[in-house]
Amino acid sequence: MVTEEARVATAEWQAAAQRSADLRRRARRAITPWAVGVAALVSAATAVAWVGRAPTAGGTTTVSAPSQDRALRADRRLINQLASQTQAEQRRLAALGGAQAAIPVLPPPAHATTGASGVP
Amino acid sequence: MFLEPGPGETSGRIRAMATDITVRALVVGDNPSEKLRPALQVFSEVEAECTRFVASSPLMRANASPGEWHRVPQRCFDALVEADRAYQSTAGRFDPRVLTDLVRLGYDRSLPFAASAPALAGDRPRGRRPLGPWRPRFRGGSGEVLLGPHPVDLGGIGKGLAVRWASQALRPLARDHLIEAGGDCYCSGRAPGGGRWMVAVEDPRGGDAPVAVLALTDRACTTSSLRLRRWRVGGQSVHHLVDPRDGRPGGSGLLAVTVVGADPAVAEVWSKVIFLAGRRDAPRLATGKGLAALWIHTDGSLGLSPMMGRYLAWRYDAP
Repeated sequence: MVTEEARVATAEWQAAAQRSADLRRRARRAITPWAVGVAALVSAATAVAWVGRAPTAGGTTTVSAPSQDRALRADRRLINQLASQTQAEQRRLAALGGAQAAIPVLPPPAHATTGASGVP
Repeated sequence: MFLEPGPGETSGRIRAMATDITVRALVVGDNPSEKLRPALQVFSEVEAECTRFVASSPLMRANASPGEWHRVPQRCFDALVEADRAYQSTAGRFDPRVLTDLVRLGYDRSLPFAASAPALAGDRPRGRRPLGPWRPRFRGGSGEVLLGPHPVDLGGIGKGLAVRWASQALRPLARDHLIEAGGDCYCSGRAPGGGRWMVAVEDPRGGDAPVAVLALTDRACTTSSLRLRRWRVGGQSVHHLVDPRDGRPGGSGLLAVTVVGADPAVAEVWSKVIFLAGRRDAPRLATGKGLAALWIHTDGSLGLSPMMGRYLAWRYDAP
């Protein structure tokens, strides 16, 4: 048999439970947009970073701002290194070309000559 | 280095038009040398009818009174028709009426160019006004021509025509042949061994080494060059390539122009026209006309039109 005291205690618990559920629901409603926004920002940043690190069709790499300077500096170092090597190679080839030019490459034998009309 | 006639190849030579003419052909059958004779004969005929150095030649008889009708032999008639055609197709940049200018410069006879540049007495060369349009008239049925008020010189096209006609005479007897006439030649079919005919482009500055070698088949190759025909008159150096616009030797900045084309007479005409355009305008003219041309500047460097690339087997690369 349920006493009056037990019935009141049950009602108060149910009311407390209902308030708790309402609070969680209201809290969820209040928190979700912020959380979704944060999650979206994090996801976007992650995606940008991931896509940026992936090589593009042109072979270049775009990176997010914090790493961009480092990458550019690395690229510049590489470019300078390659340019230096290219110039050295060009100088080497020019020196070789100059040496080779002193040795004329013979023309193929010919059947006839075209030149001054009236060659005696 | 030049290739001597190979197995099965016959060659013949003749001296005509102040040039050593050579014909090389792969002739089948008996008496091959005899089969070259008609082709070689063409040069003698063209020289006899079209020379300006013999007063009694048909051309010079017509030149003596150019304002009257004259009956001329077939080669001379055909050559004048072709000269008119060349005048039209080049918009007057090829003009056979430069004869008076050449005579004024002292080139009124065969000069001893081979030894050195002859020095002639005379006044310092001066220019003249443009001559106006050339309108020769022809009567094909009777072989008569009326040149107009000025005498003409066929030196700028005659040898190319002779090469054309010689090749036409030889073709039924020997498909594969080469005709060489100084600056002008025609390469028909294949060379001995089946390859293309190789033609060396001589260095206009002198020496035996060519500046380029061209590989040709069924193509003419002609050169207008200052290597030989230069002389001095009135203390000034002149040459035989006269600009019809002002009567002066032209081709500023160039020593030679070589043109490759289907027909030797047309190629000869254009080699002169491109030469007279001079260093500044020669590339634009050759490229604009779609001509295969190679030119040599006074400093010895080479230039060539895009079309010439397909024929170039070798070229000298200056250091």
